Formats: sequence, C-alpha cells, structure tokens
Amino acid sequence: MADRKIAYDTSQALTITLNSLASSATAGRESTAVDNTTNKYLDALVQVKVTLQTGTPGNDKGVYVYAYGSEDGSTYTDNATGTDAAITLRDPSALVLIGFIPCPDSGGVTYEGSPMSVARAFGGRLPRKWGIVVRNYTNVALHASAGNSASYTGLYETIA
Amino acid sequence: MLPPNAHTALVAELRRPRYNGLTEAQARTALNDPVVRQVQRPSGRRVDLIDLAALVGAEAAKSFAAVLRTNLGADIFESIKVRGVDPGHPKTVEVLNAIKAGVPAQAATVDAILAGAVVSVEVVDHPRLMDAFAGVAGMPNRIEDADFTAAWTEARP
Repeated sequence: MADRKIAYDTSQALTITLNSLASSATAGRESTAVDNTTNKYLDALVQVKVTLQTGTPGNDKGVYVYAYGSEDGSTYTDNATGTDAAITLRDPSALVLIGFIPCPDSGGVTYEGSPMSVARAFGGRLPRKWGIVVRNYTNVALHASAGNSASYTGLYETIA
Repeated sequence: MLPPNAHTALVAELRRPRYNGLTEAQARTALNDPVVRQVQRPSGRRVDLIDLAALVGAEAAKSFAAVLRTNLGADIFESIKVRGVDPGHPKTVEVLNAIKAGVPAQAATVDAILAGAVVSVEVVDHPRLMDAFAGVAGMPNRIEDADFTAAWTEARP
C-alpha cells in the first residue's frame, strides 16, 4: 500500500521591501504576487523576519501579516495590486490575517515569525496568485538596511 | 536609485500644490517622516499605562504600576500591562484610593481617572509617502536623499 507524504520544495524569497517600514495603524507593505499556476503547490508556508530600529515598542507591539489572493490571476483581494508596494488597508479589510509577530523588546531586536499557512486563509487551497501584506504596528520603524525579509516554502504531496 | 516608475510618481507628487513654498528639506520631511499628532481622548473604561503617565506623570505612573503589580500579583499585572489597567476593577479602585489617601496632591487626578478623564497623548503614524505611493511598484518605504533631490530638481526647477 502506497504512503501519502508531505513534500517541501526549496525555500524561496518573497519580493517585499520591508526596510524602513514605518509603524502604522492603517498602512503596510504588500509583496509581489506569487504565481502558483506552474508549481501548483497545495500550500505555502510563509515566514517573516523583522528587525526594529532602536526605540521602545508601543501600540500593539507587533507586526501583522495578512494574505491576499487572486482567483483569476489579475484581480486581487481588496486594494492589493500584486506588486511590491505600499498599501493602505481598508477598514474593515478583506485581507486575511495569517499571523502576528510579537515585538515586545527595545534595542533593535530581530524577531522571527512562525511559519504561516497561506492556504488556510483561502479555505485550504492556494489561489492562482497570492501574496502577503506586512503591517508594522510597533511604534518603531523597521531597520533601514538589514534584518527584514520574507520567504516561503511550497508544499505538495508524494505518493510512494 | 529609484526605478523609473517610482521616480515619475515622486516627481508628480512633488508638483502638487501642497509642496508650494516649501524648501527641499521641508518637502522631504513632509513626505518621508512619520506624522506625530497630539490626540485627546477619554481614558475610558481601561486606562493605558501611557495614558496614566500623561495624567499623573511618568514617575507617579511607575509607582502606580509597582503598587498594582504587588496588589494584583505579577502574573495578572503582566497580562494587563499591554492592554491597560481597568479603573473599574475592585483592586484597581482600591489601589487608586490608596494613592489618593497617601498622596493628597494626586487626589484630583485619581478622581479624574476614575471618572474617565480626557488624556492627551502623542500618536506616531506612518509618513505621507505610504499613502501617496500606495500601489507604486518598487517605491521604497523611505526615499534616500539623493533620489529625493533628483526628483525635487525635476519637479521644481
């Protein structure tokens, strides 16, 4: 009898400019959309790393990570555009929160978020195209030149 | 160096009337720097420690927090530290009244907190460029001086 197992593709960088991202209650940064029509992954695990500039965290003391998607490959959730750009979230927003990275400490600390499932945001299946939005709400801007990044691993299944 | 589309968007932004009469440095600040606003709001049912500091001063707020920690227990205090203290909580009222009795000078402030005083706090929000350039691919979160100068020179020769 064959075994059905999870398989992990190579980790890939997401295109998103996080350096100097200011703290905001309403605005953040979206990534360039990932096209899933070739790889046809079942899920993608996203991990975001942020480094704060020197200062004392305030507000929600954390960074929010949302997912956006596109069913047809060209129309994206809410006002997302599918490019690496600033985005002002609507209130309420149709973006789906997939994770939160607590950033409680002062002193320019680097924080690694947990792996976050993107498919979970869309009922268990990855849409044709997807991306993330990162909103810093720490009251401190992200570091200007280093320590900020996002990556993902595509998941599929093997039968053997 | 900015990608061409981002440079074009920046030049267009700098041609807007809102930058009329500004120097290059002033325009850079207006676009690049976080906006700091004074916000007044009622302290409400929960008082943030930062609001408390605005009302009673940082040192008094620290003492208050220390008293709360002792009276409520460190674990409970840690759990409410971020979300704020509840002025309606019996323990909080007890501590506030103790402060009021012990420090008469703070009596009026304590009454104000219990009544939901209006506090004035500084709120730091994102710089204008994040709204002005929403959706502009490749626009950085902060524009470097050299890129700004190039766009400013083109927009305001």
